[in-house]
Amino acid sequence: MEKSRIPLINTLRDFLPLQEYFVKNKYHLIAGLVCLLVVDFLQLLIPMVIKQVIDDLTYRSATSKILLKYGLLILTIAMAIAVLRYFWRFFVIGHSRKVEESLRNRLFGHLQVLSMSFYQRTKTGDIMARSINDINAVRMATGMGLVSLVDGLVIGIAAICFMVYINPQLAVFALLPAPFVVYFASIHTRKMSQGYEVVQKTFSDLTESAREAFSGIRVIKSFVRESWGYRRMEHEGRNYVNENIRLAKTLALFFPMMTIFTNLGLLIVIYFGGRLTILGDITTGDFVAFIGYLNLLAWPMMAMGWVTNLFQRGAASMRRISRILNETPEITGPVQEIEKHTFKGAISFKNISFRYPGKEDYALRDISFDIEAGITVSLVGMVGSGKSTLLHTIPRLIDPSSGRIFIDEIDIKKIPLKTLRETIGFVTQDAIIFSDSIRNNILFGRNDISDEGLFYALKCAKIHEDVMAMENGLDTILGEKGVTLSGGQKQRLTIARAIVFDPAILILDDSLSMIDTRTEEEILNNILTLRKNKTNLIVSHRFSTISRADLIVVLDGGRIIESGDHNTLLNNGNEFKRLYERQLITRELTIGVS
Amino acid sequence: MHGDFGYMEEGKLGKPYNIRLLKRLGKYAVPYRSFIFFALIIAITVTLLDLVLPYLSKVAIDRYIMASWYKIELSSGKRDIINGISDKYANIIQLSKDGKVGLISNSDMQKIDPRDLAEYRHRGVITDERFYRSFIDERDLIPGFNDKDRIEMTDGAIALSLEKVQSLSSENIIRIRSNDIRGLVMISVFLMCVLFLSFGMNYGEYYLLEYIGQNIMQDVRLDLFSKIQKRALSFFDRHPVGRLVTRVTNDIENLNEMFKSVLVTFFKDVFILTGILGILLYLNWRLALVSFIILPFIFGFTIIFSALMREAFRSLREKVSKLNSFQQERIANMRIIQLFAKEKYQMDNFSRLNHENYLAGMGQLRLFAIFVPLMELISAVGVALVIWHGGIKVMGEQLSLGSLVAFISYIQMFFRPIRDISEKYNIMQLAMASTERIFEFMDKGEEILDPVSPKHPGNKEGRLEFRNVHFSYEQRDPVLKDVNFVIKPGEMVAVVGATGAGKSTLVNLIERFYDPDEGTVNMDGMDIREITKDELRTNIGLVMQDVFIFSGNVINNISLGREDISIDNINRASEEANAKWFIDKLPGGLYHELSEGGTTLSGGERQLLSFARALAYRPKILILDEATSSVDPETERLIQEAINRMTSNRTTLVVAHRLSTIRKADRIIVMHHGRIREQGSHDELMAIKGIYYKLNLFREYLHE
Repeated sequence: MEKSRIPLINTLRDFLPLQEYFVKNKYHLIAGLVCLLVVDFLQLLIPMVIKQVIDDLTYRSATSKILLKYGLLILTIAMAIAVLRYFWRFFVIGHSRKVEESLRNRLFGHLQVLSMSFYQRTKTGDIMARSINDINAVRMATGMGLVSLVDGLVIGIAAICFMVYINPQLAVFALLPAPFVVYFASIHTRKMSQGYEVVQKTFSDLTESAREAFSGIRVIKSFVRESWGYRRMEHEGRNYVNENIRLAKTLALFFPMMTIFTNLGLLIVIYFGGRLTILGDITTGDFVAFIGYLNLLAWPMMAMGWVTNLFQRGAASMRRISRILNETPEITGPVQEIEKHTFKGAISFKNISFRYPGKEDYALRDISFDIEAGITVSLVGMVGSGKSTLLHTIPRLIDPSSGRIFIDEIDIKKIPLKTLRETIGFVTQDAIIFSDSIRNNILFGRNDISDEGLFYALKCAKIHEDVMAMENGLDTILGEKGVTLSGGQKQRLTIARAIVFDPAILILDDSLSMIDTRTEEEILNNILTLRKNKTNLIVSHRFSTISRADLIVVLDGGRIIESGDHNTLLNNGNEFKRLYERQLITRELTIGVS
Repeated sequence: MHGDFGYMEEGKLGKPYNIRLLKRLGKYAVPYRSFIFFALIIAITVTLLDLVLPYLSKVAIDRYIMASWYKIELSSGKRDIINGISDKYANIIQLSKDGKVGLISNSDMQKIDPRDLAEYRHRGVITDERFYRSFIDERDLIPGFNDKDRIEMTDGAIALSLEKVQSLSSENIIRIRSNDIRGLVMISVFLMCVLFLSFGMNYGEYYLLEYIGQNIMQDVRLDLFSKIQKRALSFFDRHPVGRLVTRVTNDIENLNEMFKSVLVTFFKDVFILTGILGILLYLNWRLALVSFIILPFIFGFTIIFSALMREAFRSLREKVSKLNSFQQERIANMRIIQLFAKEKYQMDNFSRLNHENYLAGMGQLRLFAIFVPLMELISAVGVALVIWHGGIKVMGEQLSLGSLVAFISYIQMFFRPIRDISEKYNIMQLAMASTERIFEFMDKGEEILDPVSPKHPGNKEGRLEFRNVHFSYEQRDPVLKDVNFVIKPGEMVAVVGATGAGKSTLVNLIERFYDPDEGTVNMDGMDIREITKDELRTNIGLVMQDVFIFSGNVINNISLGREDISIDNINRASEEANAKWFIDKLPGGLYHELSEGGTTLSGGERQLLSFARALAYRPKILILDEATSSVDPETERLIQEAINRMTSNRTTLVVAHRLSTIRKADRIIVMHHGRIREQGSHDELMAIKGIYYKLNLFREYLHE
């Protein structure tokens, strides 16, 4: 519960990051607000015109020509109001849409520079909530919130002035319920938003229980526990229903309560105003105008609570967004950048240690070894031995806690991130494919690659035939709304993505696991032929793959325990053999041989 | 409100009105029909009370504030006119004592035919001079009234010149016009009653609607949920969990929105509109008809704009959903973008989508910015017409001033429901799209059916048999080809083979998650399709590779909510499964609340827990799909021990990954490309030097 009574200044301070957008849009914003003010003023004139009509009719000074004139006057005012309304909506609400766009761009841009550690501790869903719900709340505050605030204040104050002008005494009487309305509305709005939060919580419980029931469907079915699943669902659903009904009790009170308060004003005007009219203190026109102003006042009185809430929500959302915007990336490029450089691909690790934040054990311990440019290295080790972690330090997805890494004898911290990462083709364990065309998934925004090069990469990764078999070939759209690929196809596609730009260093992080052995072998053959004299780092559990490496590095518990070429290790190494015995049992049996 | 972007699914919108769907929804409302009827009655009453308010102002103005009488000269002028008046309007004319003059009240003036009135005026029979009629004899109070200003009426009332009355002191005006003041008090009291009544009614209406809506939703939700739960597993293969969840949560929520705010409020709005039209016609049908000139414009524009708005809304939703899924995908996979240093490329795409979203938003905004002011403008045209045309009628005494004021109020009131209806149009479309999806899911009849007349296996020994079984998922490549094997009661059989060899499919067929394309799976000599799924599955204990932990305590996770499993049984099961040691260490022991997905437990502990779960049900047959993840040696020992205990004296089929498990099996079945290629003990299989031998060769080779 971040809101409640925050002074206005604090609320405004939360919006400070938006300052530049307000400055940039200032002319639109001012134009819009001026339009709004004029509209308010014109709106206040209408009861006055009606008053004149009524008085003229009462005193029989009206003629049909005068009446026509009044009619036309109202029409003219209304026309001006309509035009200006269009403009303020367009300018002020349009401004809020612009704020929304810019803020979202800024947030996404910032998210792109944040390091992996941020993504490890932040759920995608939470970030999405910032970008969708919170930005919407900010938009509402800067758009409708701003409009309602200005509109409400101006109309409210001006209407009161007009009422006082007509008859101060009646104005005081008529406005007696007003403080109650404002007070009640603000209290109630707060109560409502609290109620909404509770409902929201039961809703997410409900969602969670549905999610659980469907993801655990195999368990439920095999143990014949459908009735239990149903009971759980019924229970959460009932909670949700009950909370909604509880909230309804609060909500149901709001509008009737508001209506009764505002109509109490009407009651007072009818009695006292009527009396004053009978006594001749005010004219019948005044009496009617008074009712008109009272009607104009009803909305601002009710809305103040809503507006405050809108701003508070917006401020809370802005705080949450700012929290992300204030995150600084842990990994940044060098301050002094070296000249643009093409790398040959020699890598050397010097005393690399790494510990994941919040973990006690080191994932990498004092790792040092050199990779000559142009050789193929195989990293071997059990799950959790540190292979992936080590590979991630090369493109600086993570920075080691201590130690240094050099590429062609240049400390990678001195290489601009873009240059460094463009030197490396990285294929991750989980094959990540975006909902886009196959072409875009492989090219990934590169426009310096010919179709020939593209086809070559596809052939190399043995996905060419699959792609050609699809109706739209390279332009086939993948993902939820398009074609779903099998796990193996996805992996092959991500391999094509990495080799298509012929990087100096290629890293395959156990990325052939879903491809059958024969195809895997063919792909590796292709890659090693294509990339002769280029550096390749390969993690694989398959013996056939490992045996082809020039250098095998065996990791265990974050340490290098053995290294050397295949023959040396089989002859001299103990751990390599032992590891493989274990892995073959657990792994080869499932993967099988052909 | 619910920031779920599954909500924005596909940016689709339904037709706003679809009778077939509404009828089907209506069935769910049947149990609440008396509530709904009651809610409608309240809604109608509330509307009536709303409509009363402007009318009260009219009464206050006409009957009390503006109360006055016109004098009719009956003594002078032409006889024929005087006779005409007396004949035609005798019931509204009050005569003076001397019979020379008559009085007619300002509100009765409208009852005089306009042509007659013009003539009377022309002839000077009726003048603009107004009187006030009361029973207070002014001579006691105020001297100075001459006879011209004073008329004594037949009923003893005295009519005084209004002008003179109004020039008196406040106290005297109040004394003379005490009747009017009392009238105002009465109106105020009446208004007060209306307010309180309407307050109660409004409260009741809202509450009742929420009550009905929520309960109907709960019914639809549970109906949908149980239907989905009954679906065959193939259904769950094809529908991502997220989408299923959206159906039973957000889509239902949209429906609620419709029930609550649209259906009943829609009726209410229509009722208000009709009510206003009726009152206007009643107040003055001629003026009403003139003011109705604006109606075609209102409805015309509303229809045009609704269509445009629908398109704008659809396009906005589409853009939002595109933007969100783009974002979602990029944020979840930020690693790849950074690895390939393609931030700029992604940013370009993102800002393009973001800008499209902005433009769609502006498109919608522009429509609103035109529509709302346009409606207000039309309303102003209505007011202007009433002022001009109505004002002339007031001058001609054909319309009272109060009616004119009421007319203006009602015309302004007319636009609120119109705007409501056009706004609800969007909700309606959303709800219809949701309804369509909900029913679509209810109708997807993918179920593994129970036999019509199920048999009950007599002696449950736990014998399993696959006879000539062929199977493929979704008519694709065959996964099992002519599989034949028997597991004798109490025997333990290990299945080994490569991924995709069909091992897990065996499990799926035994559990009847799927039915074979050809051949039969038999339990104790009976085709499992001849017994109910419930009976089949209760006899089989399944331990899956990925252990699913439900949120709730340990007891619930072992018993899965079955109340006939006692705590003793749970304790025994967890002891047998070697799970007791870690359960005891948990805070609260068996009552420890496990978090979603059981993240607080280690992989090994989860496995042990799932053993306990299977054991608590005391199954005849145990199916064990071994987990592949490695655990620490101590836990590994516990798992092995538990497996030993569980499998002894129980028919067991284990999809094995651990060599130690394989060794323990009475028999090994080697699956390859959907066929059983080898069967036998470890030694036998090694002797034939087939696939199993090859699998083991790697190990041997390394040992050399």
